[in-house]
Amino acid sequence: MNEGMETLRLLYVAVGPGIAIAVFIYHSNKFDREPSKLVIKSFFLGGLAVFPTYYFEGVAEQILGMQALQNEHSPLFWPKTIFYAFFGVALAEELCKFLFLKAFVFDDRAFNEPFDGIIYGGMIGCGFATVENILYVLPQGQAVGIIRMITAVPGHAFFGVILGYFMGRAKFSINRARHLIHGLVVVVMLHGLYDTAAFSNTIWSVYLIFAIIFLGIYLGLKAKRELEKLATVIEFSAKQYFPLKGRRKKVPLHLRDIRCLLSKGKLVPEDNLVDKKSGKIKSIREIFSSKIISQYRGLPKAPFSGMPVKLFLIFYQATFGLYLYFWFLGNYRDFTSYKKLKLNPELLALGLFVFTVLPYFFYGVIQRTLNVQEVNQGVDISLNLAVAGIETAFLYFQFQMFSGFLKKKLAKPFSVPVVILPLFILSGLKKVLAPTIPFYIFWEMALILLQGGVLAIVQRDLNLYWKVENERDQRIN
Amino acid sequence: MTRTKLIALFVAIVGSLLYFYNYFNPPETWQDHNKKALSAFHDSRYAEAEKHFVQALELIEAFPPNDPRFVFILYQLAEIYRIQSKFVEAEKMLKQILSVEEKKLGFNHPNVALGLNNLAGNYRERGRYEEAETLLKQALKILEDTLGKESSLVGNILEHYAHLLHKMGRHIEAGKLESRYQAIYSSLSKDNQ
Repeated sequence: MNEGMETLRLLYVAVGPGIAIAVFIYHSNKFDREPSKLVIKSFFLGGLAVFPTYYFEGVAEQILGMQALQNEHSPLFWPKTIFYAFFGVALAEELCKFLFLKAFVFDDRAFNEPFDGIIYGGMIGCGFATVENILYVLPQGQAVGIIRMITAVPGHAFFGVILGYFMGRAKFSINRARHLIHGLVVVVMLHGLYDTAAFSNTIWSVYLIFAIIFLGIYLGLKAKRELEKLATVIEFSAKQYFPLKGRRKKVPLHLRDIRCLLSKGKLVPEDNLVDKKSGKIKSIREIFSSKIISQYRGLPKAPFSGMPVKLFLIFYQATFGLYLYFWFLGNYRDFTSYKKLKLNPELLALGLFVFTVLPYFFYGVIQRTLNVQEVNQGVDISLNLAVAGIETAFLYFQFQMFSGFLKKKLAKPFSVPVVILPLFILSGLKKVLAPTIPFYIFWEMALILLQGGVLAIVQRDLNLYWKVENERDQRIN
Repeated sequence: MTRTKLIALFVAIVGSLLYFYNYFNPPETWQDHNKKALSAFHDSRYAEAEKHFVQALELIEAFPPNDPRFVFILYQLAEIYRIQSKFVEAEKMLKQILSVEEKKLGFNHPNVALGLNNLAGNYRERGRYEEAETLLKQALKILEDTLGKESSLVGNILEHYAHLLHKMGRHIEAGKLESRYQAIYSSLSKDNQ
């Protein structure tokens, strides 16, 4: 493979994961899609934050003499590593993301409800992760790209989501400073622990890295879910208010109208509103605070609009097939929310992630422990096929569930075995494919495209299903 | 423009400029100097090699003294000085290595014995035979105690010692040592066959 192609391949590995998570986060806003200009701006601001923080980290590294530390037996290893991880890296990176978010996005009128914090915080995190990944993967190669794909990239993205959660709450709260400080402290703690583990390079550090990443993803998804409920309340709440600002309106406003006026700049979060029923005066900040989540249980659930098949295929291809995890999660969440199922989508998606990633990690640990020098091809292929089997099993159970719902609404829904079998074959082939074969990147891309094509059959039927559900709901209403 | 925006703009612009300045003009690390010094050394440009090793040493002095990279650079510098017949400077380096190795490994370690042997070589070349002899005796004792009397390293020290004794005019003693190290070498070569 020539140098240009190799650089292109590495760039693809470096950029894919960050964009996959960014797409997932962007599409999680179902009621009030954020302006793409501000979303892209946030992504680039995150990328820009890499440069000043890297400069600062270099200075801190020199001052603390980090290069001189060889292993944990070096003098002052732990105090220096912990100090550098928390203050030289974690605080610098998170503070820079926070500063850019606060300065260039927080006061924008498009940031018109708490959930927007998740979108913009996530975008800043993904932008940072993507640019940082390029700086690591281009000089250090694919192996580093793959490790970072499952550690640093989701870490930055979900630390961004957590920071955004607190920013969103801060913007619509009377205790703004408290939320902002909480947000910064939480992400710096998580990030600092992650970096301490990464820099210490001891046996346990790998376990701690994965534990913190899982915790970060879990907390990020929880935060996102909480503010999604708040967004649903704002969209569907029956409560009405009269604004005190300007000419007294004869027609009272719903919360979604207020959100719309905020984005047009006709209202600001500090403006006061009069509750039509109780006559109480409250600021928009107070009304949009998380206290209104309690109304969520009584609200009707709106069916989802699905995702255009072409868009799905583009995301799937552009993200090296990583979009599968988010697609899997999104589908479970849509059905769990709409059908009020007792499932934990985050746990299921995390399960898919863990069971398709951890076998490789344990395989590596066993190889290192047994000091295996030569790779046994038979064992390698068996492991890859086993992981493909696990991945397909997770999808099988999800598709079985969909199939049950789809059969009631669609004349000819997809057949689960017909979809699962090619998925297993393609996934197995993709994993077994040796990077040394000629035109490796072409075959890899072709297999991803075919796999995306099979999944697109499911996506097409899901779109039809949501369309039918939407029409039914409209008829009822 | 708000104060936060001004701070953020300052951080973004100044921080990025400093980053890119450093990226395109990276400060030289000890590895860079070491690489340049080794290349100059291979091309027999000893003065240049010395300059780079000294610069590498200055950077590496921030490391703990028992860091193996520190000893490595000291050895390189000692060798460069020896080749250039700068024996006084070489002695300083060798003494420093000896002190680091003694602190790190204790007084009875084969590495310390090799350090003593190197320093003895420096003294021998400067005609300080008595001091060299004392050091070689110490080195011999350490190696005999730690590796046994028949070790190849003991043979090496005996060879150096015999060479020194010839220089001192003590040929009979030198002859005894010669027969001893030859016996060691021949028994080792039999073992290897």
